[in-house]
Amino acid sequence: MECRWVEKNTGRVMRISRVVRTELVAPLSLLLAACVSQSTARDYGAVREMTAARVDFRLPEQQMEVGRDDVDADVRALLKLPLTEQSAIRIALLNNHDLRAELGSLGIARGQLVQGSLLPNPEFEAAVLPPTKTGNTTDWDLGAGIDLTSLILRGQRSGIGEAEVEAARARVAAAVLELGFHVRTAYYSVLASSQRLELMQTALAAFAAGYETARTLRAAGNTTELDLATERAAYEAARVAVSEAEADLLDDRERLNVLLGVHGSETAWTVAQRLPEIPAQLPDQAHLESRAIDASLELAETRALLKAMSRRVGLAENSGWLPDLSVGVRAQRDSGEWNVGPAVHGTLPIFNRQQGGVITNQARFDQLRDHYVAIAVEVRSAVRAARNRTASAQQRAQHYRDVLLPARQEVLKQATLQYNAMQIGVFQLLQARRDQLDAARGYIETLREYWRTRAQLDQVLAGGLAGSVGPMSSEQSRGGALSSTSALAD
Amino acid sequence: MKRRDFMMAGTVAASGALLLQGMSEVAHARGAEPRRAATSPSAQTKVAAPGGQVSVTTPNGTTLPWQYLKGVKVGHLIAAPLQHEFAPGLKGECWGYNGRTIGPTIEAVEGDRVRIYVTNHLPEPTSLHWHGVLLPNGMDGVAGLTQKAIAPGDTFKYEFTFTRPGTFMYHPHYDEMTQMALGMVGMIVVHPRAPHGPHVDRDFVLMTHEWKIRAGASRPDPGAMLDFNVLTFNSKAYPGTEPLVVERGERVRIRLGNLSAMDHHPIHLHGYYFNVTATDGGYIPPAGQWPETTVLVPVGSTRTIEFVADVPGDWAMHCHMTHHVMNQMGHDVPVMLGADAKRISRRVRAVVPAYMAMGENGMGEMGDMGMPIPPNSIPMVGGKGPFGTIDMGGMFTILKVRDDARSEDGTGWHRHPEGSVATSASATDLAADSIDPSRKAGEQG
Ligand SMILES: [Cu+2]
Repeated sequence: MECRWVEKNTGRVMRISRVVRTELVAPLSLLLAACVSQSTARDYGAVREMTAARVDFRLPEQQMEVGRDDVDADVRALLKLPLTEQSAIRIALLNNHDLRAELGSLGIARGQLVQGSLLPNPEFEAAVLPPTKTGNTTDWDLGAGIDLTSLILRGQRSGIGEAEVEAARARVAAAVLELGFHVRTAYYSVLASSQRLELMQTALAAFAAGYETARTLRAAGNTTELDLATERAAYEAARVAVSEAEADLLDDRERLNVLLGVHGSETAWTVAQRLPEIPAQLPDQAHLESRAIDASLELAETRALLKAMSRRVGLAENSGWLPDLSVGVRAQRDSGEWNVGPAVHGTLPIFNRQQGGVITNQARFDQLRDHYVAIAVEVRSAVRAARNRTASAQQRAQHYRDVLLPARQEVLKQATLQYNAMQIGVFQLLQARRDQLDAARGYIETLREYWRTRAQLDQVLAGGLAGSVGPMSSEQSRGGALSSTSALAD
Repeated sequence: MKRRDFMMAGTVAASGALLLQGMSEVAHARGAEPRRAATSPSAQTKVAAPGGQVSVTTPNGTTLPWQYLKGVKVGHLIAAPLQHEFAPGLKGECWGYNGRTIGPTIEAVEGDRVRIYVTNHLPEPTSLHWHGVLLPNGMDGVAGLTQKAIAPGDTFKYEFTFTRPGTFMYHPHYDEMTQMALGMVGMIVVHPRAPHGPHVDRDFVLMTHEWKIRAGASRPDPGAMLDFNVLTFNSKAYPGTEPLVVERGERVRIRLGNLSAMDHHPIHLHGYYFNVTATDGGYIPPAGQWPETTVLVPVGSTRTIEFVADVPGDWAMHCHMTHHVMNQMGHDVPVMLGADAKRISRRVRAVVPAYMAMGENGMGEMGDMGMPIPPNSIPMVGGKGPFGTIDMGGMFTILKVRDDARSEDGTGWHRHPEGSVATSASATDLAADSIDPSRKAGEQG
């Protein structure tokens, strides 16, 4: 509106706003900046509360900014201790720049809100007509006014901005949850991979014992080159397997490094924990779907966007019917006489009543509404899937812990007795030990799956996104996890 | 007590009483007194046949009692499952007769008419074959061929006359493989009306047999064909075998039978040579007897040996197949002999802390290692002897020849005269005989 108005006066109007602005507006803008930073702190606080209500970790009290040394010191101090699940999440919250970037979107939304709520600038016009041959007075033509339409619609525009800020808060809170979730699963993966590596190193030692025994027996003339070569091949294959497990652990550490935002010497962190045992009980199973729906931050964001979109439709409709009006005063000095009177300036909404804008925004609203329903369906499915997977992994892990591991232990014990009785040889004894280690490895993989799916379930119930559901990749699940839960039912 | 056991015990008790009555006229012919061990001369108090023929002793076993009814000796054999101890520490789920394996020895005299009832308390049919005995074809006990099988719960009546003296055996002739593998074997001794040869003071029966019982298991494996690991005299493996106690100067007869599944047994007696005086085909006339120190007892045969026990001592008697004097030996383990056990131990113990290297210097001390082994197994264990562990097992027993056998209850050891036991050579001995122990083998001429 303002633009059109200025365009029409081009050529006749000398604009001085630039000069005025530097002198008048600079202190104002400082004031404004202070207000805005207070608002973004409020947004950050709101996100902090939203997340604290949902998960057991908190964003730092102050929003992180680049180059804050105290934060770096905190991170360094945490990295010096062996990592725990909680300390890893804290480091990531302090140090993950993807999260900081996401937090920045609070400022974007807030800025758009501020921009939408600004008062229209006063319009100002001045013309000086020097004396001519016929008349020797200097004529003045002064005008001042304000964009009335913009003023009237200002409330509706800030309503849109407020809804969008709400959406941004939900989106950012979801990002915080998601980071926590990823850190959790990455941390469990590191624990699992490191325990798996330990087991494989022990298995390697068992293969080494077999190989050494075969070499010793061969040296004594007691066994064949074939037996020796067989033991050696098994040992060398085990070395390859350990090397693969080492690479897997490094990969898992890298995934966590990225989430922690660390590099260089900071990546030398250690872990002290082992994968926790399976808790006896699953989390509360009641009303899972409705709890997930109530908590869902994605749905909350979409609801806020729907609100914003419905306000856009209203704005388009109103701005369509309202004429573009500026009102003000005009003063003219003609032939030495001042003449002052009111002025109005505008367009008539006859042809362009924002009909297209209304249709577009209405369609966007409908689109969002369908999207909302689709998200709700997905959230319900995600919580069911996570519950199923968690229950299955729990059952399998318990079966490992209570049945299979003791059974393998018993095999080793009985093999030792049979060895002592000279019914089996040292190679069979070592095989029993390796079978036991294989079962332990299967248990670790199942624990890893349990804690991953458990994190997914917690995440969905907390209102976050939990990525795709379903079995882990074949890489992760190898190690003999039983695939059927019904087989374990008895 | 199960009903079946009760019935059986009752039968044995009743016929036992009749036996004592029937035997009273021939008892005490040699005036022996009651003593403790079953194989000591006290058990030999009875005369079983004319001419002072002593009754047989079955070490670790018993003799079937008879009822005398109108000139017929009536006996009862009950085939049934039972639990049997092969040696201390090893019990088996076996089948046998009258609650035992080997079954009671059937002892009779040439010309005796016998009626033997056979009751089947097994889960499957059975029959009884009188191995080596000449009898009517219909009494031969071959299920399907000469009779119907005896169904579980049924009792069959066998009646025949022992027309020839000798040492025979009995066993089922239905599912022999299973039933004999589980212990259904027994000996038959038929004394001649008139004794053959010199008077015999002590008459033993020893049935050889072989079993497969995996260490820690208790059921003999009827499917075993080669890897038998429990070898027995009268179903006992050493140190479970009862010694044969005799008095110095006694003439001893040992009747050996073999109903093993797959192995003949060369039975070797230390300290003596003996004559093979009979087979299950009959008595060998003196001109045909030959001296031996080892007698091969083929599967399905009996061999009778006689000797005069004139040298006191503890004399080993055993199958000479070395694997037949081992208990529950594993046959599929790597050879450790001569290997550097420390190298192996260091590596293996890193992953199996309970591991102990074994056999790198031989296996002689296995019985003394005392490592935990599966329950109900006796791998390698030997018996305690006067000079340490006797690292023998299986088909091994001891002939104890004593100056006064009545003082020996079977647990004692020979008292060696001064200087008659091999010991470590003294330096004086070595010097006197120019023996240099530091010389390496192979340097000597
Ligand atoms: Cu043998």
